[in-house]
Amino acid sequence: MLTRKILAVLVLLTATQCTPHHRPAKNTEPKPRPKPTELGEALSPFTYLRKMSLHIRGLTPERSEYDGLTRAIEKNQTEEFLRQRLDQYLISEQHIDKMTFRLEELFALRASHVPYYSPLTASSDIADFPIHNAMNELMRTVISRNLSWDTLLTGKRYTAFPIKPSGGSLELGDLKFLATAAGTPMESPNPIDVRFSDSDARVAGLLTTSRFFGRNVNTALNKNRRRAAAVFRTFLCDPMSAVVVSEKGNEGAILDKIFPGAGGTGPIRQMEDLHGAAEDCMKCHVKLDPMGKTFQSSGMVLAPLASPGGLVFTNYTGKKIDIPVNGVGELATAITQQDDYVRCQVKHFWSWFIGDDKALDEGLMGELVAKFNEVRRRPNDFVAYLVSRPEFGFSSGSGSNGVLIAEVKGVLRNCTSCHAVNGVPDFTVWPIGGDEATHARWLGRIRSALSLDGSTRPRTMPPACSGPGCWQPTPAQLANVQQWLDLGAPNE
Amino acid sequence: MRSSWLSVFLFFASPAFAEMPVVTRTAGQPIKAVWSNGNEAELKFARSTQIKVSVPYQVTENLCNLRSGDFFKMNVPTRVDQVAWFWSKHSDPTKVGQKLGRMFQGQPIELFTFVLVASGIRWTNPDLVLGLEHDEIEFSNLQWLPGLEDGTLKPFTIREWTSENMVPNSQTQINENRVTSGAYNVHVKPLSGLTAEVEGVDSMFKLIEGEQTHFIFAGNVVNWQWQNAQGPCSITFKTNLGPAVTALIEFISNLKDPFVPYLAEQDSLLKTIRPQFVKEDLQDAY
Repeated sequence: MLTRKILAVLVLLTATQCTPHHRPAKNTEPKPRPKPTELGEALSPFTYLRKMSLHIRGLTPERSEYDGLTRAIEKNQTEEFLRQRLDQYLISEQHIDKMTFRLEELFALRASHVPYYSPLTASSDIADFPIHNAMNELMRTVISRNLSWDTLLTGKRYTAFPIKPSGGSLELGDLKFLATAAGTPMESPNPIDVRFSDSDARVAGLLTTSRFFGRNVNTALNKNRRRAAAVFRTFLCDPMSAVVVSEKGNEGAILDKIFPGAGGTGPIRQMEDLHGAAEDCMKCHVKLDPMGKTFQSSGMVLAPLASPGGLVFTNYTGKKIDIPVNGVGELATAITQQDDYVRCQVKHFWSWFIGDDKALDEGLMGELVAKFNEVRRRPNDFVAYLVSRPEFGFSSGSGSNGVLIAEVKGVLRNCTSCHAVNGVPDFTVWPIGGDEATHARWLGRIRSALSLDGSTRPRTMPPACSGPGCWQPTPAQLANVQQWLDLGAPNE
Repeated sequence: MRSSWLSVFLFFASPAFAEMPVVTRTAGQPIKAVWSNGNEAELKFARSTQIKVSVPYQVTENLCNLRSGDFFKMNVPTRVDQVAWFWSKHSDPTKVGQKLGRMFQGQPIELFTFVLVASGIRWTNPDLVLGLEHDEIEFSNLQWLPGLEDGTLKPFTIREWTSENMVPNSQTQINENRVTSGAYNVHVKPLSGLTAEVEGVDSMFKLIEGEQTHFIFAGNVVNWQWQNAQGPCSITFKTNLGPAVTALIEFISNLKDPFVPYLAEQDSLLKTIRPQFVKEDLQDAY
C-alpha cells in the first residue's frame, strides 16, 4: 500500500514538472534536422512514403508499410526500404489506373470506371466501352510494361474489344473502327489483337482509336481541325487558345470575326476565303489544316488509305517546323522527334508528380529532358527519377499551407519532447502513430486537450507551469493549430 | 400476418417476377413462345412492296474544282418489313390473333417493330434486299464531278461517302454534328442519260445500329472524298430529308400487308433487330 502511494506521488510529480527541455524523450534521441534549403525542409521518411504512395498509387500506405519503415529505420535500411516500396508501387494496378486517369484527363475524356477488370467477352456484364477499348488498353500497356512513352503515338498494336450493346450509348467499338483498315471482322464474341506493320502510315497509337475519334468527332466543315487541335494540346502543349472570344447575345459580331467582311452571310466558300485571309485566324489554321489533312479520309472509322498532310508549327525557339507526312502514322513519328514534344511530356510528368507550384526553369527543363531521353522515355523509370529529386522529397513551404504547417510543427514539437517519455508518438511525424486511423484519433485528442473543439472548458495541455523552461502556447499559436485542424490537418 | 402474405403474393405475381416463356426456333418452322400456363405466341412478319423516296443534295463546297450551286437527286428504294408477336393460344379467347403487349418505361406498347430495308443493309444482309432496286442518282449536270468535266457519264468511284447527323457525343453528352454512317469506295454505274445507280461499296460503317437506321447515304450533311490529280479533295452537300421522311411515314402508316408466320432462319431479318425482341421482351408480355 505504501509503495503504491509513493509510486503515485512520483508519477504525479513527473507529470506536473514535465516541461520542454526538462528531459529528453525516451527512445527518440533528438536527431539533427536537415538545414532548411530553398526547397524547404526534408520530408520525414514516413511523410515521404505517404507522398510517394499518394502520387503513384492514389492511396495511402497500409499500416504494415509504416511498420516496415519503422523497422527499416532502426536497421539503417531506410533508403533500401523506400526503394523497394517504389518498385512495388510502380508495378501496381493502382498506378496503372492513376496514370490512365491522368491521360484521360489530358485527352478531356470521361474517366473510365474503376477498378479495371480483366478483359472479358461481350456477354459479360463487365465488358464496357469506357474500360474495354483500344485506347485505354494501349495506355495501360505502356504503363504496365514500361514501354517508351512515344508508343502512345507510334504504337501499331491494339486490342479491339467487342462492344457491349447499351441503350442510348453512341460508341463505335474498335472492332468496327479498325475492320476496314485491318481487314478484321466487324463482329466477334472475343477481343481480337490487331497488329499493323511498324511502317503503317495510317496508324498512330492513341490517335487512331475509336475513343479518340468519338471524343473528337469530325464534320465536313471542320475538316479534322478538332482532332489536330487535340494533338497540339496534348503532345505539343500548344494551348490552342481561342482567337475568337464568345460574346453572349452578339452573334453578329462573332460571325464578323469568324468571317470578316462578309456580314455573316454568303456562300460558305466565300466566307471561308475571308476567314482564311485574316491574320488572327491563320495563326491557328496554318497549324491545324495540314495536320487535319492526315485524318482526311477517316470520317468515322480508320481509312484504308493514308492521307498526306503535314506537321507545321513554330517551335519553342521560334523556328518554323514544316514536315510533310504521308498519313497520321508518319505525323506521329514526326511529332516524337520534336523537342517541343519531349518538353511537353516532361511538363506533364512534372505537373503530375512534382506540382505546378514548383518552378520549371530552362536549366531544370534541360536536365529533365536529358533524363527523359536517357531512360528511353520509359514512364516508370522517369517517375522513379522524379520522386528521387529534392523537389519531391522536400516540403516547399511555398504553398498556401507551407507556412502554416511549419508553424504547427513548431508548436507540436513542444508536446513531443514531453510526451514521448510515456510512449506517445511523435506529433511532428505524420501520420501520427504511423497510420491514418491512429493519426485521426490523436488529432481528436490534441484538439480536445487544447480546447479547440468549440467547448468552453479550459485546455488541459500543456499543464500550467511557471518559471524557467515553462512553455505555454500563445493565442496566435493556438489559432494556427486550430486552423490547421479545421483544414483537415494538411500534410504538405 | 395477412398483409405480409399478400406482399409475398404480389411480389411473385409482379412483372418483375414474370415468367419467361420457352422460345422454339427450329429451322423452317414458325417461331413460337410457350408459357407454362399453356398460352402460346407466334412470331409473324409482313413484307411491303417497294417505295422510292427522293432526297435532293445541294453542293455547298466543292474543293475538287471549286464550282458551286450544283445538285443531284438520290432516289432510295425502301421496303418495310414488320415483325410482331401474336397470341396463337390464350386462356382468354379474345386475345388470340392479337399482338402481344408489354410495359416500356411505364407506357403500354405492342411487341411490334419494323425494319426499313434500304442501302444500309444491302451489303450486310444481301438476302433481304432481293428484288429491291439499287439507289439511283439523278444528276442535273456533270461538270462539277472530277473526271466527268466533259459532261459524259462514266462509271466512277467515290473514295469515301459519309453522312452527318446531330447526335450526343458519347464522351461529353453534348449534341453535335458528326459523321454517323458511310462507305468506302462507292462504285457508281451509269444507267441512262444523267442517271446512275450505286452498284456497290467495298465497305460500310454505321454509328447507330437499329431497325430504322439503314440509310447510310443520307444525312443532314453529306461529304464525298475524292482523289484527283492534285491529291485528296472533298465535295460537301446539304440535303433536304423532310419530304422523304414525310413520304415514308405516310407509307408506313398505311401498311396493310398481311402478317404471315416467320419461319426460323428463312432469311437474316432477325439479325437486323434487337435480339431481346425474340427473348427478354417476352418476359412480361400480356
